Amino acid sequence: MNILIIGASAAGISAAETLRKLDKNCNITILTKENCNRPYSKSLLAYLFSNRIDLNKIYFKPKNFFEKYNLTYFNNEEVIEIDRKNKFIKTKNNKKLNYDKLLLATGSKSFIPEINNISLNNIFTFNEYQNYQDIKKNLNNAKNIVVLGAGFVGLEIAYALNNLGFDVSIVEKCSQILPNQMDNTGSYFIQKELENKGIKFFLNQSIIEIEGSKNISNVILSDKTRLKSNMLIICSGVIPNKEIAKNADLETKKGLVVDEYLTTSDNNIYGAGDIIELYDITTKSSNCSGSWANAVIQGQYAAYNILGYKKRYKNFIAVQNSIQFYNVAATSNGKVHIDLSDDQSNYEVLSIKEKNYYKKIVLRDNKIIGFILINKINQAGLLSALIKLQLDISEYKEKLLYDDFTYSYFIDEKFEQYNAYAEIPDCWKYNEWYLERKFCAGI
Amino acid sequence: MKKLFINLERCFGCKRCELACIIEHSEEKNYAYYLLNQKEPKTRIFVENYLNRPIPLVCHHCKDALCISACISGCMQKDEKTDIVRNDNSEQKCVGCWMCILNCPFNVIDREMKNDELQAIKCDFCANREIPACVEACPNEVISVIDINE
Repeated sequence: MNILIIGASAAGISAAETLRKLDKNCNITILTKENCNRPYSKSLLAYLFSNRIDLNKIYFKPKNFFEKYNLTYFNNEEVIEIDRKNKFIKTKNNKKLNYDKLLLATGSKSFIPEINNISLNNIFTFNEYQNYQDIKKNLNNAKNIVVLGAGFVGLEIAYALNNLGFDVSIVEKCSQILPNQMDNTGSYFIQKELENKGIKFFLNQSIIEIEGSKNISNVILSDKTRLKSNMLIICSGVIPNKEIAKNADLETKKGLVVDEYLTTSDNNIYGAGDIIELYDITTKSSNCSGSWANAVIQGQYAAYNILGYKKRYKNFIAVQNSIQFYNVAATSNGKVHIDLSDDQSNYEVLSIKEKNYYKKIVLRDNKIIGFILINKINQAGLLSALIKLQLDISEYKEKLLYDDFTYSYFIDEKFEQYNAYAEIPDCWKYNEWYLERKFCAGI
Repeated sequence: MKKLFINLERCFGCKRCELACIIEHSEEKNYAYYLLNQKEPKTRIFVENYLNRPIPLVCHHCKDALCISACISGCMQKDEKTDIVRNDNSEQKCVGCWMCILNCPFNVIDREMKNDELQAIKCDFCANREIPACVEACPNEVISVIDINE
């Protein structure tokens, strides 16, 4: 069987690895449009600026990965056409490849807003290795750097450049930083920490004009503030690379539409990673995820389904993030904002706030659907698992905010009645662990 | 495939396993010196409390571990021979993004300052010892190493 994977990042590579573990004989080919000999981790690019890691550490698989798993890898091959009828793809370099099963893991690209003069020099996006090289090359001439967008990527690059001693300002159109991941209180912890270290924030603002003749010199914000800037980095979100799927008449909305088996409207084409949109159990709406962990797990599930194992991917949560900026560690998962349009009577918020510590848990119908943890983040994993489980936790409600609310609460006979092994994170249901539970709790 | 097994009924919560774990993973190999260097003690085995019952939580070195899937740098890896999940034994490097902490349902991963950089720490089955320190330290034979064959 010829299996073709388009995209060599989290989803594509984890799918290839899983496919090879399951089937020793199939032909697996990976194509990427990027110019890199080995797959690298996009999430690590910001760490390169501050020398937290060396250049050779951005590769997330060992050197001999492709040989070891017997994979064919082509870089610099942008796929421009999928012929679903005759089952082949065509690349920009006129390469034609046949497939029996095709996995689209093309990821996402930076969203570029429409602003006058956006095509001037020294304006960059930050999504690929190429962007990193461009920014690095031009850093010598830069002094004042403006970052548009206080999302996850924007903050990471601002943090890294601020560490290098640049004058960094962040422009965000929402009234808080990290609008998707944090609530007001939580984002304030992070904002304050970054402000203390010298990053300037301009909230409730957007850039309405860019000044400069050849290179960028100033940006003008919506309240007519003029910010001096030698470099502008645009981090105002990502959009899925779905054009190729759209041109092939596959169903797309926000992203590529897939079912629970990660199959698109064509039975031989699958999707995984940032490109797909799925039903999010916490917000009850379809959404694309930008999370590395989600992409890897979707890649694994897609691999199972490509080989016909019919593995259902469910309990998807789009937003999950964890960060460490200077002394503040923060994690969030699921739905943390309650909108006015939601039925308020179903929702409950438990929270605790101290000087250096914040914890917020959002419940809907006695089930956890989201949380924020600042500085004491050890419980994050358990709470994430409880979101995925959609377990009724009314019994534990008063204990939820305790520091010692850990997995130990669930090594208990009572846990059995939830039929926990039916729909839980994979690593909770392996035989060894079940044996161990039997051994431990006498069930 | 080796696993740590817990015999809950025998545990009375002395936390000697935690102490042994801290000492084993410290440079000083001595608790008093360790505290003198003013470090926050970081253990990789956690004796938790549930309804006044002590419950030791250990890393399960899961088969399809979520911490491995979540790791953005690829440093969290499963050893092919021993099936031990570790993040400090690979060509990649932990950058302290805490995605493993966010995904581990057993909450047995913690953060520690290593060479001025925060990194994730977890049970490594005591790489330099034949029998893990916690197993040796337990006075009541609560923790034991059992070989599971699939």
